[in-house]
Amino acid sequence: MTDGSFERFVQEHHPSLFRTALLMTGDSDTAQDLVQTALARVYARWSRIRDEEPAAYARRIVVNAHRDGWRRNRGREHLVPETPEPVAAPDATGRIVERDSVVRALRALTARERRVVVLRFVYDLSEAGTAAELGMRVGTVKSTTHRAIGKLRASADLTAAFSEETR
Amino acid sequence: MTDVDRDTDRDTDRVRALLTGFDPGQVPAPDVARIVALGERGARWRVVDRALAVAAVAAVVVAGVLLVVHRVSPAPGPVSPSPSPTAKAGYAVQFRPVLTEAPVGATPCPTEPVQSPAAQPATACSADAALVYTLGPAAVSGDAIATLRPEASAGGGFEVVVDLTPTGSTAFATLTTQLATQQAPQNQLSIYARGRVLSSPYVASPILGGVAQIGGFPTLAAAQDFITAVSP
Repeated sequence: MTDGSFERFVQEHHPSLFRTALLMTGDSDTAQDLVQTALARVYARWSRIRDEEPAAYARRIVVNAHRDGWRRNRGREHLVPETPEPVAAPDATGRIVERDSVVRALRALTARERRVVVLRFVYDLSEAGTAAELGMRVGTVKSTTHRAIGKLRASADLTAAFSEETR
Repeated sequence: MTDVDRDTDRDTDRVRALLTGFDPGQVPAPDVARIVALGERGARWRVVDRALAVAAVAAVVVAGVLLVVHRVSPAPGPVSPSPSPTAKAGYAVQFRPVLTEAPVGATPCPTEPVQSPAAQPATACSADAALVYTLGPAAVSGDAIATLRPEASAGGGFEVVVDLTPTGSTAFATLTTQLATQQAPQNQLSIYARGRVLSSPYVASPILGGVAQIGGFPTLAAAQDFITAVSP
């Protein structure tokens, strides 16, 4: 099982999974737990899924995690033994502000709205693809997307992003 | 194109730009050793023949975290001519042979799956909605289960111990004897409850003791919640 292929998979996909998890959870520690859990599940099934699409499998776990109380049960696997990273490492101030405002604005969405916008816009899935992945109807994906965009537009945190004139 | 459409498109583009341009900041390094350890533990969700003290099954399971909160009406148990008097009929937990296993593809997982009757084949997703299974009819279910009780696991956390009736033990032994001769994925035993496959350990050797365990619950309360949810 450990021929190095899983380790390479982790190194390659961890950053994008973490980014998705952060968008989904809005919290760096929770995101780290979530990615770790997702990757552990990938590992548990590695011999069976390595030749299929382990990245899609991992993404699905991350995106679906907020169904039915992943957060409620976190700690099941005694996660995060290490000291958590500081959330806002001081890189460029403007970036932190924008990151925080995006995260805050996403928190105002329902979990389902977040799943839809992440799959639609971060992974660039079609409406049909998003519907298939989430077990929703295409019409529901459309209306959910529309509602989510409306909420983001109305979000005070993103006022600046929306008030800019389009270039 | 109307102004409203144009506004909506512009908003969509901005949301897309915000999300695709999202900078997660410092990404913590993955702890691969930790992930592997967790994965190994997940893979150990198991059905154990305690009577023989043989860990008969090693495998793959991860359901605990995503157990559904809502309750599915208990499936009718199989028709049994003479249910044991001690049997508490109708636990909505079924043991079914796995026929096929595939990543979820074009057919989406239902968000609120319905438990299939024990006598019928079923199609169900894993609890993490990543794999879809077709399952044979339940070989053991409902009134073949005497009790479900929570117990602390040796490795930490809690498990639900499934005590089978004498009839259930025989059926379980037959099922696992048969599964042990199969090739993957048909050597897997699915634990099917609330319309989902909670786990699908493969069977390495027959399980004759009449006791199975469903592992991976973080707390006593989580194990008890599960029992409540599948109780008649």
